[in-house]
Amino acid sequence: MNDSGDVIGTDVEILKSVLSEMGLEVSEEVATDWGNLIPGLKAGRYDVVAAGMFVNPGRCAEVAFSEPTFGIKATLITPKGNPKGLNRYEDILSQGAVLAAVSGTAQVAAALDLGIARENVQEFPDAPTALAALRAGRADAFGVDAPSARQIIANLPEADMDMVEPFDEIGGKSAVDHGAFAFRKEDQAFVDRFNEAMRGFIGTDAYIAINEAHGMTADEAPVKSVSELCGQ
Amino acid sequence: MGLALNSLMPRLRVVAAAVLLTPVAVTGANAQDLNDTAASDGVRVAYFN
Repeated sequence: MNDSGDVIGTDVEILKSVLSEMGLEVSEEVATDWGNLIPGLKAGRYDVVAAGMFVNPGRCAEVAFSEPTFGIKATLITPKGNPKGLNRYEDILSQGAVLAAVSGTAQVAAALDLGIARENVQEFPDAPTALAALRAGRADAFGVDAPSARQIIANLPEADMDMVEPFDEIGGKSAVDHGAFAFRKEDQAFVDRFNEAMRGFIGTDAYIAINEAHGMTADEAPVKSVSELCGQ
Repeated sequence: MGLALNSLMPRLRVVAAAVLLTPVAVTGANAQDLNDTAASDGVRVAYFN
């Protein structure tokens, strides 16, 4: 929320723009915990979730997702100059290097899924503690999504870290997390209209301006459709 | 037994008709399609706090 009391963020701003294209407006904004977003939607307490929610088959069974508005690639943050030449998770696996990651994130799951040894995947509660482990030499790279990495690098007190070129696959599996708006399943007809309007909005100067204002780049454009992501 | 059931049948028919005619309770935006409510009431959005 900004100083004027307006809710800001890529999703909320894109939502309002697309609704405006449809001749509609937001009548109520509800802030809620992550775990309550889908239950509240299904209970009819609001009509749409605009929270950068990642599309996956499990959630597709619960809600009707719009087409995705972004696709976030994975990357690694390394000590300056990337001394071990770690550019992919596969490099970490082949070198027996140590990966730092925030607990509960997709990065932990991807590393273990690839076959990186459990003892070589160090979990931390947040980014600052993961970066501290890198500085102390207790980990060799920090696995994180690309927009977060750009933000972390930009805000470092000293320029002692680098991020590698973002990648879209880990071990042959997609490493791009797609975010979309979530609606109730019974509102699919509305979602179809919404998608039609959103197709006309994505790529416009207004769309690019919203994304750039929040640290997103053209690199975060979606690469899959909601049907592909839901496994339909 | 058959006589008792026969005497009950008209009442059962009335109850069945009443059940069929009772509107199903639907609350909030689920009562109507979002295509309709969005136009008249706007869209209610939730975001992550």
